[in-house]
Amino acid sequence: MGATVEDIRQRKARQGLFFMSLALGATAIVLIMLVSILGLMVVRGSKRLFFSPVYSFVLADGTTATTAIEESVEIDVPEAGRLETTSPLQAHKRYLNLQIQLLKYSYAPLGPDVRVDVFKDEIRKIKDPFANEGEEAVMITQTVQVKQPSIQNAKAVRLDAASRTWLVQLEDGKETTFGPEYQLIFSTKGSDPVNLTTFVTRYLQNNPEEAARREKEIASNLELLSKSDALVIEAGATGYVIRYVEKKDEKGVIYHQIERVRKLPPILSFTIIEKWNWFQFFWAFPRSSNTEGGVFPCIFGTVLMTLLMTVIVAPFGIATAVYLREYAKDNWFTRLIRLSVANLAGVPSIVFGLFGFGFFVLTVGGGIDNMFFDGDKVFGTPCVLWASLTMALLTLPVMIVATEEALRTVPPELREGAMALGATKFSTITTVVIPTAMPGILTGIILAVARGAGEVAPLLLTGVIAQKDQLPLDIFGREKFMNLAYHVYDLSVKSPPNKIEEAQSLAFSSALVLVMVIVTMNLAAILLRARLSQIRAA
Amino acid sequence: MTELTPVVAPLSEREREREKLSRTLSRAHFIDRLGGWGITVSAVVVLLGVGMIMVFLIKEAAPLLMFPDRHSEGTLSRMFLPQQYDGYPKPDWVWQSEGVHEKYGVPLLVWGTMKGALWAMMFSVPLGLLAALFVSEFAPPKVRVVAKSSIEILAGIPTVIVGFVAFVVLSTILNNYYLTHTEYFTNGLWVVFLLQVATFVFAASALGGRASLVKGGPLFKAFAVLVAVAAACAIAVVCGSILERLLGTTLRPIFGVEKYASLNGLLAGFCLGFAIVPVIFSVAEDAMRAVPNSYREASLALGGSKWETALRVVVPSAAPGIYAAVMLGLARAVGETMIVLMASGNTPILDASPFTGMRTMSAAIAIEMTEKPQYSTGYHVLFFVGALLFMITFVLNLATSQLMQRLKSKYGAN
Repeated sequence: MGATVEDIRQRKARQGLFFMSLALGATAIVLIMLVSILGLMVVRGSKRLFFSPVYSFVLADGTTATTAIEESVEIDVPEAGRLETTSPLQAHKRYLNLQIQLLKYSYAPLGPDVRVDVFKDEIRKIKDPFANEGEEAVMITQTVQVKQPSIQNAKAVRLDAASRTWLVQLEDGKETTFGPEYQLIFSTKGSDPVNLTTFVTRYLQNNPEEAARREKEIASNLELLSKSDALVIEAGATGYVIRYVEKKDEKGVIYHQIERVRKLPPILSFTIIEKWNWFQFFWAFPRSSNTEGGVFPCIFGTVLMTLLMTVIVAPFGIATAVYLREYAKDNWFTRLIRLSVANLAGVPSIVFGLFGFGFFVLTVGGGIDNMFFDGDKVFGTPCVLWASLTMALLTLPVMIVATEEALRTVPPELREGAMALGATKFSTITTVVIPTAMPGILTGIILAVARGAGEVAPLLLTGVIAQKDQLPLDIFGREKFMNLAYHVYDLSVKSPPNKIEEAQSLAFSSALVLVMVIVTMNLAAILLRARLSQIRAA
Repeated sequence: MTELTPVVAPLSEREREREKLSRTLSRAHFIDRLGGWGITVSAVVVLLGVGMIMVFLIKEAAPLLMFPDRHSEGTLSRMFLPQQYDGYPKPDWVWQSEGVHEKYGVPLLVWGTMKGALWAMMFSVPLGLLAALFVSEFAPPKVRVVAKSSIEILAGIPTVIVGFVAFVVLSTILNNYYLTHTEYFTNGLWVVFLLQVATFVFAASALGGRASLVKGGPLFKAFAVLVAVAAACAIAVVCGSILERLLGTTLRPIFGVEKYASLNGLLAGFCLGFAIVPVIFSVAEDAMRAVPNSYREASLALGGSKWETALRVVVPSAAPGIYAAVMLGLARAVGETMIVLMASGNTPILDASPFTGMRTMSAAIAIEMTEKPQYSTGYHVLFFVGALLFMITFVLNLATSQLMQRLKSKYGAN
């Protein structure tokens, strides 16, 4: 008793459905991966670009202090009303608890020196050497005019946990103390805006249970948590302000010098102001080991390198493709070129880097140095020139394949027509074939540039640098350069542990810019090619 | 009557014209020759450049073999055989390129590379091939265009971005999950595995026709399978902890989860897979599209269903291309640098567990090359590693192009 035809048909249909849903699922997963990585970049990346918060404060003496940002939108903190009804001291302690909770996990204990860490442009934190693990002090910058300088040349500041007093050590060895009613203001060199002063508060968690209880209470009350990364504020009566200057000693260790002291009124309430930050992001130089400021040199370096690369790769790529398409006979030489180009496409990018480092930098560069510069390191160091050459080699197959494809689309009638009119082979190529194939060649250039802009591995060895204050404007390209893709790597992997948050938010923005540029270029190439094949079909 | 004008120019004028023309022609001829030479020369330059890579890598790696006395730490036996180093209990491979006694256990790097590539393949091969099959055989033309373009864009996303996501986002998620659910995570793992097998058996039987355990329409059955898989995961998580309590001992060593690093082989492999899915997809898809439509039509005419045609006709016909896709994917996974540099932790250890890190050949070159003085032992060893990496990818690429060539000659270029 065999199965009927109908049975077989049904079974097949079932199997087919299962199988097709499997294949469909796989396709969907791949597409979801693309969408999720792009989405992640957009969501996390645009946060820093467009929505960095700025703070504004109302002081007890009635004055309002804000960071000097224009074009801003004010958002009232929901708790502002309640803040004013309670005593300033209590109100501010709430925020402080909140702050401590936020900082606990993201900050590694710092060295014995009091160190100021730039958190955002407006907010700083300080690690208290006497505090228990997990405790952090916080400070906030604001526009307060500093009027009465009274301490200068201080070397370090410490906090005595028991008496809650600040011990300020002067350079001549003397110590001055300030009681718990004092507020310290820090400002670092990297934080420029001149009219920004800083003021600090700190909080000591003597009673963890109490603190934990309050944390919950505050967290439930405040939406602020999600919006701001850090907030304030010590309480108490009027405090003093101490301004710090960042300095380096002869060993290069950064310490902070106290400049002056001022009495400050306590803060009554604060407001978050959203600001647009993208202009600064694109045009500013990076500061504070890349965790602040913008990425202009990275963009400049990437553009410079890809431009040089294109200048090198385009003529060679086009000429080789023309050779393969128009001149080559079917012999071993042609096959060898085809084979090596095909294999070149599969060589790992780090091997290009290795080759570029060993050959271009050490052998060629070193050779030039030995010949003309008495062995001084002039060309024999990693720099933009060698990086571009290496990248040109890397993108060569992309260029050749795309150009060949484009040349293939040129109808033979055009060539024959030109020949029949008496044109030579070369002038047929330059005046008829290449102009006709131009859109396809352009596609190749776009693809090569997109590849070059996103590739990091060869650059690691051939000339990229993490931070540089000047643009690499040397006419021979003998300088190291910053690169956007490398910047993402550097920020995420190599930033100091106490600056991870800032570095990552900046890295996301850089990554967003990079991804958008590359996706746009690839999309343009795809559209251009689709257009071409349409024309060919017509 | 109008006066006739002479059509033919006077002789002297014609001669001048001809002379001019021949001069122009000879100049054009000269330019033609020059241009042809220029183009040939640049093709030769490209060929030389490509050849130079191979020659240079070998040249810089050769001193290790030629002058073993000068590079005593980098001889073949020191690199490839386990060595007894001070402070180690038994002879072992160690990679430690800094310090007084440099230790270059190259197999560690090869191991790390293979570990990453293996996990990458496990993830990307099914995904890439199935997606290729769907796009080439089942998808409507509009969907095909969109899917192909999207995957091309995915291919264009720089690997540093993928590594960045792995390092910043995924490792944190993995870490949090591991730290908060250690028990489920470790013990549940093998139960998940067993139940997955059971689920697939169940799925096969559910879809297997008359002997099916589940009665109902095909959609219902597909749904039932999904529910069963989800249930298996849930049961496994519960069973994991129960089982541990019953046995009174931890089962972690079985899966090598005793040691755990937040940047590990699994993470690196997953992200590598992410990066090579587009490669596998596009090569496999091209191969499947290259199968002539007459094959499909013949199968359909003989009563084969659409999926039967896909699986029994298109896939076998495109087999060389599919092997090529897998090999090209493997070559990419082996050579990829930025992802492993960021996601693998870069710890040179010989450990099969997916939850520990590794150091790959590419990462070792990226990290250590700039610190080595020219012509030092380390410099040559790294070039040796580079040459090895080049050879591996070269062989894979060569095989790929041979397979594609075979496919092309079988079905003609189209």
